Parts: sequence; C-alpha cells; structure tokens
Amino acid sequence: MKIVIVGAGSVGFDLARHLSASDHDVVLVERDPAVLALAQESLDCRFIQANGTSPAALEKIGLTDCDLFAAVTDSDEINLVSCLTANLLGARIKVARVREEDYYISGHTLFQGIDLAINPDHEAAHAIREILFRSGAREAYRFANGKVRVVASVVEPDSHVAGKSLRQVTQELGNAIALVAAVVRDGETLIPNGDTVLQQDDTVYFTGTRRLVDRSLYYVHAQQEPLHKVMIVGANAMGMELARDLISAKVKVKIVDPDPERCRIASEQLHHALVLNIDPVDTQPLEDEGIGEMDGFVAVGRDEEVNVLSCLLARRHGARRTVCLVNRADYVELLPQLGIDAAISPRRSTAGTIARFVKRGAVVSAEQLGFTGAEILQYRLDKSSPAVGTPLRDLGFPADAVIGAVIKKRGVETPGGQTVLKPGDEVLVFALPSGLAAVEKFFIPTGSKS
Amino acid sequence: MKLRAVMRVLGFLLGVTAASMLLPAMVSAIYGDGDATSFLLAAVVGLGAGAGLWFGGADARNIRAREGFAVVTLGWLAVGLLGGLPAWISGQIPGFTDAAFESISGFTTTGATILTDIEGRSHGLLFWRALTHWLGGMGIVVLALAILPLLGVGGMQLFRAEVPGPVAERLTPRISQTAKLLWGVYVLLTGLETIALTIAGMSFFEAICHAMATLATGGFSTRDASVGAFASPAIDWIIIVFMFLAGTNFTLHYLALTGKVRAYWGDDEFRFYVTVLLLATAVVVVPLLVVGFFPTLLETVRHGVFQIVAIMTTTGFGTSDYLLWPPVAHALLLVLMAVGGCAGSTGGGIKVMRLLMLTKAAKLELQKLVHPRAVATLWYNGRAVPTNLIHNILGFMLLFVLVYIGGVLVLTLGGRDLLTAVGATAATLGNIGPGLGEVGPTCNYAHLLSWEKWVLVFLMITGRLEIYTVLVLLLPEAWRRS
Repeated sequence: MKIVIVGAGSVGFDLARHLSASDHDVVLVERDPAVLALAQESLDCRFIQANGTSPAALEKIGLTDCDLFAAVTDSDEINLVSCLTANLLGARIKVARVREEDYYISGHTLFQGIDLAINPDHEAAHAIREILFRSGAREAYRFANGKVRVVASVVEPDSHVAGKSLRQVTQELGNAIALVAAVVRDGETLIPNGDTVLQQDDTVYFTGTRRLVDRSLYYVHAQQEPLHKVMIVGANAMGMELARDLISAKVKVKIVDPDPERCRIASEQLHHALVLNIDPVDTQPLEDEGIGEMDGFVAVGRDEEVNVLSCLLARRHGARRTVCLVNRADYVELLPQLGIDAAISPRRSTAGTIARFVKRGAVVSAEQLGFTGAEILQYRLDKSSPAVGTPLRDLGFPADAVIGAVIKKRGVETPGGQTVLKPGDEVLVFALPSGLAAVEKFFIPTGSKS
Repeated sequence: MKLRAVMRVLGFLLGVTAASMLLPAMVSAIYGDGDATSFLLAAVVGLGAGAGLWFGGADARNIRAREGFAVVTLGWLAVGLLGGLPAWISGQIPGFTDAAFESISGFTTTGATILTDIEGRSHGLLFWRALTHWLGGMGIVVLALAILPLLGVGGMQLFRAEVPGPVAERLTPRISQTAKLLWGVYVLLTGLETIALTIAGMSFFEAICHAMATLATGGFSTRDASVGAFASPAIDWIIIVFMFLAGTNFTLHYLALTGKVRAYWGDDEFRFYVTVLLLATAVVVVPLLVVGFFPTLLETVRHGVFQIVAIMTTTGFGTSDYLLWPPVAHALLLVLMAVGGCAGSTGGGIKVMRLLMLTKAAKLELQKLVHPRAVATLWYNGRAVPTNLIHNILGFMLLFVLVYIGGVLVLTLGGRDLLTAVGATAATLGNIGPGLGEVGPTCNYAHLLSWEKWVLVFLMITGRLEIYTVLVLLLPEAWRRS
C-alpha cells in the first residue's frame, strides 16, 4: 500500500515509523531539510524535501495510486490545502491533522474530500480530563460522540468487587454496574467471562453510558474524590486545551512551563489560569506553589523523562492523581509501579487511528488498549455483515474478543446473549491480538474487500 | 508639521461653528431679545476667518498623527474663542477673557461659568451656551467626521487624537460611519430627554437647553440655582438617568439599540462604573441620613444620587449645596471628579476604563508577590491587554496627576486658598464645572483673576483632550517639518 505523509514532525515521524514497520510503501514529505535529515537517520521510507501544498511536488510523487494521504504538519492550513490538493490529484483516503476547533468541527462536512480530521492534542486533552475527574481511572475513551464511554480503573483492595467473580458481581448488582469488557492483570490483557475473579490491582475496562460507567467506578474505587485544583506542566497546545477544559468545569488551574515565551502566550489565552514560569524539575518553586496540595497533576511537556520525573515529584509531595504524557512503550509499563496513575500516549493512538483507518472500511474508530496489542474497535453494520440477524449467543463469537456495547439509534444497549444486531447498528468490540482476525469476519460486509 | 494642512481643517471647523451660530440667532429673533445681530456679526467674523484659513491652507487629505493632535487642540481653542464673540459683542459678557472662558467651558463640556443672574440673560445666549456643550459633547471633530468626509481627512489619525487609549470599539470599519452611528445615538438621547423634561413640566426651551447640557455632560443650566431651581423630583430623576447614560460608552447604547441589550452588563467598564456609583451613593447617603440633612429618606437618596452622578459623569448640575454636606461627601466628590465617565462617553476625567485597568494591573502586581514566578496578563473585556497599552495608561495617569498638581501649585502661588485651588483644578481638568471652596456649587468663577481664568482654560482643554493630545504639542519633534 502506498502512503504519503506530509510533515515529519512528531506526529508524522511516529506515523511513518508505525506504517513503514508494517511493510507499507511510505513517502515522507517535509519542507525543512533539517527535520527531514533527522527522520532519514531512523526511518525506512522515501524522503522528499518539498512543500506539502505544492501541486507540482505532489504530482511528481504520483498520487493516483496513493491509498492514504496524511497531512500532519503543525499548520492547519497547510494540512487542509495539502489534502484538498491530494484529493484533486487522485489520492484515495485523505487524513488531515487539524488543531483549530473551528476547522475540526467542520472538517468532515465543509471540506469534501477530507475523509478524517484528527486532532491529537485535543483528543488527548479530553481523555486526560476524563481521567482526572475519576479517582482510580487509568484510561478513558469516548465513542459515538460520547454516547459510549470506556473507562479503565484500578480495583482497590477493599472495594466492593475485589475477590469476587464477575458472575457474583452481576448477581449482586444487576444493571447497576457496567459491563467489564476487559481486564488487565500483571501487564496482560484478558477478556473476562463469568468465572473471572477480580483481584486487587487489576485494571477493569467498564463500558457503557457515561452515567453507568461513573456509577460503576464506586464499586472498584470507593473513594471518588472531587477535583478542585490541578497543576499542568507544559503550556503547549495540549496543556492549554486541557486547562481551558478544566477552567470551564470550574477547576482552579496552575500551568507550569520552563519557557518564558510560551508562558506569555498561555497567559494571554487562558484567562483564569495561573501561569507559572518554572522548570518542572525545580523542586522548591513548585513546592511554594503547592504542588503537594493538588488534586490532580498532569505532565504533558515535550520531554518525556521530565514528565515522568515531575509526576514522581508531585506524587512524593502528595498530589492525589498524576497523569503523565509518555509515548515510549517501555515507560508506560513502568508508570503504575512508580505510582503514577495514568499514562497518555497521543502520538501512538493517533498513528494507530490512522493505521486502522487504512485497513478496514467498516471501522468507525479504533483505540489501542494499553500496550498489549489489544484493541477497541467500533464497527458499523450493514445488511451484508454476517453478524446481523442472529442472537449473539448463537453467533459463535471467539473467546478472545467481546462486544462491549451496542449503539442503536434509540440508545446504547449492554449486549446480552439474546441481543440481535440489525443493519445500521454500531458495535464496540474488545479484541485481543489473537482474536482480531476472527472478529473482523463477523462485521466486515461480505461484499467489500479487506 | 504640515501647518497649512492644519490651517485648512481649522478653517473648516471655524466655518461650521460660525454656521451653527445661526441657530441662536434664530432663537434670539423668535424671542425678540435683541441679540440676533451680535450672533450674526460673530458668524460673519467666524466665516471670514474660516475662509481665510481654508484658502490659505493646503490639501489636508494626507494628514498624519502629529497634524491630528494640532488640529484637535488648536481646533478646540479656535472654536472656543470664536464661540465667545457673540456675548462679548453684545456686551452681555463685557470682558473678552470672561467671554472666552465661558465659551471654552461650554465647548469642553465643563460647565464652569462666570455668569451671574443667569435668568436675566437673553434666550439666544442661554441657547448658545447649551449648544456649545452639545457641539463640544461628542467632539466637533467627530461631528465633522460624521458629516463630511469631503475633506478626505485621514480619519484614523483624528480619531486617535480625539480619544487616545483603547477606545473606539470599532462598530464599522469606516471611522466616519462609526461617528455617524454614535452621533445618531447622541441625537436620539437628546431628543428623548427633551421630551421627558417637557412632560415633567419644564418649558420646551429650558428642556432642550438642559437636554443638550446633560448629554454633553456639560452642566450649563438656564437657572442660577441649576437644576435645583425647579425643585421637582421628576426632573431630578430624569436628569439623573440621562446623565448616567451620557457617562456610559456610546458604543454600548448603539449595541443596545441594535438589540444587544446584554452588551451593557457584558462590559467590564460598565459594571465597574455602576459599582462605583452605587458604592459612592451609599457613602454619601448614610452620613446625610445620620446628620438628618434632608427631611425624608427619599429626598436624601434623590439628592445624594443626583450629586454623585452629576459629579462622576462630569456633568456638574446641582440640586443642593454639597459644601454644606458632611466632609466625607466633599472628599468623595473630589475623588469622583478625577474618576470621570466611561471611555467613549462624553464625560471627562481619567475615565472608568483607565482606573479599572490600573486596578487590575495593581492586583496583578500584588499577585506577583505571592507567586513570584507567575506570568500574568491583564484581561479586559475577555481579551488580553498588551503591555504597552498599560504603559500608555500609566503615562496618562502620571501626566494627569502632574498637570493636576501643577494647576494647584500655580493657583496657590497667586494666593488662592488650597480648597479653592484644588476644587477649581479638579473641576476644570475633569471638565465638571462646580468645584469646592470659592468656586463651589453656589458660587461661580467670575471673581477669579484674568490670568487664573486662562490657566483654567488650559486645564479645561488639556483635560478634555485627554492630556496627551495637548502635551504632545510641547514636544519640539511634533513641530518638525518632516
């Protein structure tokens, strides 16, 4: 498959690495020779030094046989123009990275020819917000415009469900608890059944409506504490989006950045945040600013090591919930052991989203679940999908996958054995790597190629 | 400085002023008070001088900022001097200094008067005094911009000269259109007040004179005892409301007329303005009640609110002699004289917006003491304010205080007592009118010496033109040719 990526910045670089690793023919277009040289050192793909909006340059690359065109530079305008140009030149799927809210919202409708608008900073900021507001939460995802939420939470030793099997839990609580679609235990993901016993320190993935999921959290983590004060390290796009989000939810925000210029910009954009020009590993000033009294501490700076370090610092001083931005898999696995509550890896999930989008037409969206290769996939069914019309009980669904939620027009349903899927429904599927291929067969329309 | 371009604009302004003298001439003719000829004579002089300057001048199309400052300052002075001619010619005000003082006090919407026995003056003169307020109100320059872009005057520069600081929330891209819109609001409000006052029992003539003086936040009345002479609660409340409106940013009125009534409360300055007015009223009313100055609560509130609004909006009408009130009222009124109205209103003084900005800036400085590493930006009306603008405002404050102190020093140097000197300086620099001491609400400025009056004239013009505009002309660079 031929893939053209415009922009070799952090997002573009990761995407190129991700895709070239899985045997795709990747062309990386970048205007800045220095940035391009950096990418050349470690990536196996074709490199072209050109402006991504230049029709001449794009024509030279040849887009008629291009299956995926992804414009992921820092500039919205370049990405949009570049995608529109690619559309005219015949590229098949066009993906634009868009930061500006306005473009993002209208991205799908206004600009015909752009198939997917993605905003990694934005999405990550929203995910962090969801995690911050829920004690014990590790990961949070939204599907179907927020109608379905997936929240991963740690099981507390003295919580209601610890030591009980899922069957027991369902008997006791009935509809009051959301479906547990996946459990991560000692770094391994499993798809639970009725006999699975929940243990302390398991991470359970609740799936359902927002209300149901939030209510369920009490059973695994009884102490749901309010969020009043949050400190954010990194006055970048993600940090500022998060700050805006939190401020509008009446949370007091302190935002920390070592760069005076970025601080100035932040203070001119965030009215009610306190912007502090402090190096995030500089202990004393952070202590003076009450790092220990924070309900939430979020590190989303550029430097991953600094993020981890400052989260540890916050933890040690007594910050209650810590969320850290890291993209390196080996770090992510370390974080729970270090006492950091949640890790956010926007670049990985962006690359994943785009890569997934390439593969299958029926997939509406996809998220990587932790770092074990398990995935959450959202499928839309049509008449020819094999799963349509048969009760789930009789479907013969593989044991290493599970349907977490069914999104029908009139609302979200928790799937049961007697549930029958209809054309137009959407399903949220949790699948282990071993079950991915088997799952596809149920939902991909028979007529379409893979 | 392109002096000849400046001359042409000045000539135009004099011409407009001369033409506007036909109105009081008509009023004189209608009432048969015999003043019509002096107005016509003054108009002829004005037209002659205007024509001379116009034809002696050069194309004013490419006017720059520095010419703009000269046009505004010299324009106000020239128009003010011309406006004094009729009363001087007719002999109603015998001295030229007095005539010029009265006229400039009118055009700067100050309302400080040297006239005694006001009721005995001709209708023509009383009308002309109100009209000078009204014309001065939104600024002769804005008027000129609204009516005639025929000069092709570089409107931007003029508007900047007119209202330095971060005003002019531009309603429409073209400045002349903005001016027309705001002028429309001004005319509308004047009309409404005239009707309201007539209904409340004033004669039509007095209603229109008071309406013009209110909307301009001027303060010339047709009575010696100012508004108090009518002794009517209805009239008092009507004038309170319109003084309040005149002290509000006219852009907000325009927005309200287009259906965006919420714009008022959404404006930081307006909220601050209302807060200050309410607090000040409380501070004045309570001591008045304690000493039992007025017989009833309602009357106390009425006079208290009237005086607070009249002073803060820099109108300067009076219903009661506030010098007889408890001392705290004097102190508070003196402070309010400096505060003034909102930016974009016809009020003078420092302006609520500037004080609000400085209050916020001071709060930020305090915050920096608690959070030494904080990077804080000043927010105003939902927007970040650039630092250089705050410096500009700080500079304004400093200059305002310096001019204020200078005024007090010069007047006391001549032997005036401190209270009078402070009162006169505050009342003229802030364009209020009545001051304290010997220039209090029941006295007037007639007994001051000639040179003192010219000092006050300088203060009136400097205050009206937001200090910078006048003081910039003291820089030699402003006068260089290039």
